[in-house]
Amino acid sequence: MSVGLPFYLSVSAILFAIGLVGVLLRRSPLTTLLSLEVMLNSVNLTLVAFSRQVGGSDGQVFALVVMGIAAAEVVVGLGLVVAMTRREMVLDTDELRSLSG
Amino acid sequence: MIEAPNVVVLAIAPEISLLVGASLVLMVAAFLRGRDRGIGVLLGIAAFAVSGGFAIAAWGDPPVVTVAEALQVDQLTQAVRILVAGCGLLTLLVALGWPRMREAGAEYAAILLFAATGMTLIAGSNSFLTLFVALELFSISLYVLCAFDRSSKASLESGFKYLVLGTIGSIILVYGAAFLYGATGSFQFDGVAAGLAEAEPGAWLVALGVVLVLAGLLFKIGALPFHMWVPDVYEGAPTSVTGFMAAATKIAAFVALARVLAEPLAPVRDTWEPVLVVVAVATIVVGNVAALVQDNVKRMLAYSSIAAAGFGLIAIIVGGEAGSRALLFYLAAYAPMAIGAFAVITLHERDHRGVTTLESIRAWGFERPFAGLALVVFLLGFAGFPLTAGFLGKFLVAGSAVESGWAWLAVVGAIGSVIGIAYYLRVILALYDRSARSGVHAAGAPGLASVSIAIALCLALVIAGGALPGIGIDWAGEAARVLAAGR
Repeated sequence: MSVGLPFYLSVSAILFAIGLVGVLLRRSPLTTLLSLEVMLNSVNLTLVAFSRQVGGSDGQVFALVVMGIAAAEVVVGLGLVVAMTRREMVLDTDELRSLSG
Repeated sequence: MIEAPNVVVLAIAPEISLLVGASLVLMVAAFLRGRDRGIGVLLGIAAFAVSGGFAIAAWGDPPVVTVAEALQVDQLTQAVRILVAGCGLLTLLVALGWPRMREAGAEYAAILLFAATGMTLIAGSNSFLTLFVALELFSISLYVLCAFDRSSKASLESGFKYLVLGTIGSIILVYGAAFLYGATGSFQFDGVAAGLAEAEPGAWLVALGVVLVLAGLLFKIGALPFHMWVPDVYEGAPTSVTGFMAAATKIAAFVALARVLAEPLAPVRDTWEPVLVVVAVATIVVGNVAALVQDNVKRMLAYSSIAAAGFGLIAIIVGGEAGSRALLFYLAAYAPMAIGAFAVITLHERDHRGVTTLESIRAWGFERPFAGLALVVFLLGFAGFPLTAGFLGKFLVAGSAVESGWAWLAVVGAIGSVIGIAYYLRVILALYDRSARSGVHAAGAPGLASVSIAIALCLALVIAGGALPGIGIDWAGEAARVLAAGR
């Protein structure tokens, strides 16, 4: 049995779903950031799989760009987590609800 | 030898000035450690002025596609450059009234310049790659700006929430772009359009790609069902940042959406039109109804900006020359009202040393007559009262909808505006409540003069836009021709 495009797309869709569920259900900000990374990497897998299918390297270039931007995003995210810790905020996304109404 | 991509430097001069400005501001700040860093803000203002100046000078130039076909510099791009530069300039003036600007003003100015660069780039993007990079450039900058007040837990919370939800939005957008790439073999807008025109109707790859790209962009606009972040982020962020987001982010995201729908996704109008109609109606209804029950003024304005996004979506659905012109005028008219309204709230927060609610703003209009009057004008502009730019914006949108057979959408928008009058009046009545004594006294403090200047400028723009509509409409019409021509 050969491993083809549908296989890669399914794996990336599953990863995407795992990431999304992680963001929505897990409560630690760090796990939330991790789940976002899982989602981003699922997109990368899709991009690379399609790049292979279509031919050419556009998709792979896009995946590299996504990785770079994901790194920038995590830097800001971790910086915020550190700042929140310094302000002695509870690191639990369920407790982040002073803004609601 | 590797062939270098063609770059027309003059065509991207506004972006270059923003980036050079940001770098200069940071360098100057590094040397001024511990001293007054207001100079960084002044440099930032200069960078915005230069950038806007380049765009105004290039107004009317023939369109150029440059930087290896990544960017199209046309009238629409120029219009967004001018608007964003204006928004950035006003925002910095407002931010000067914030006590922490003395220590952190330079960083604030630099990040704001980076955000503005992303916003001008997204308006001119010619491929999904540029679109994504520009989107992230301004989104990540805005996450930092939202959390800029590190002494405030609300600000940190809003920054983190925006980061998590905004990133999901961006990821959804790239996921959609990936599917469109799979279906058409290109990220370039013209390549995608050509591929979609040939694709068999109802192909699942295409449908999935279109819906995900739309969802990602609607997320940034703050339309339903992706509006949850707007009230939290608007409430928690420093007020000057909230004003910038309400004005400039809306302009950038709306123009990007309009361009994506007019260029790459034009062949699949049947797929996205019904989705957008449902979203627009739901956004107008939910935004206006939720705004009715808010006591926190910033939160109320956040819901009103959701409702405004729904109104803008009507213009996007109408499309064509009239719809695009209405959209641009509406966005341009909305910007000074939003920045001005949040500037007045900045002033009130200074006086009151706390959150601006319907209770704390009671009778404050007597304490600060000019700011109070300005807030009244901005709120009436939001509500769409005649003689303000807001009225003309709404009028153009509704008019274009009626002309092109979307009269019922115009009626929905009008009903929403009527509901809007109710909650804007609540604020105005509280502001001039004779039965109450204002517990808030006008505090004289450094930096307040620049806030007043910003409010006066916004006021002048809102009234000029309403009283002398000709210039603004011509200007929006020229920029809108790009969208009407399509591909």
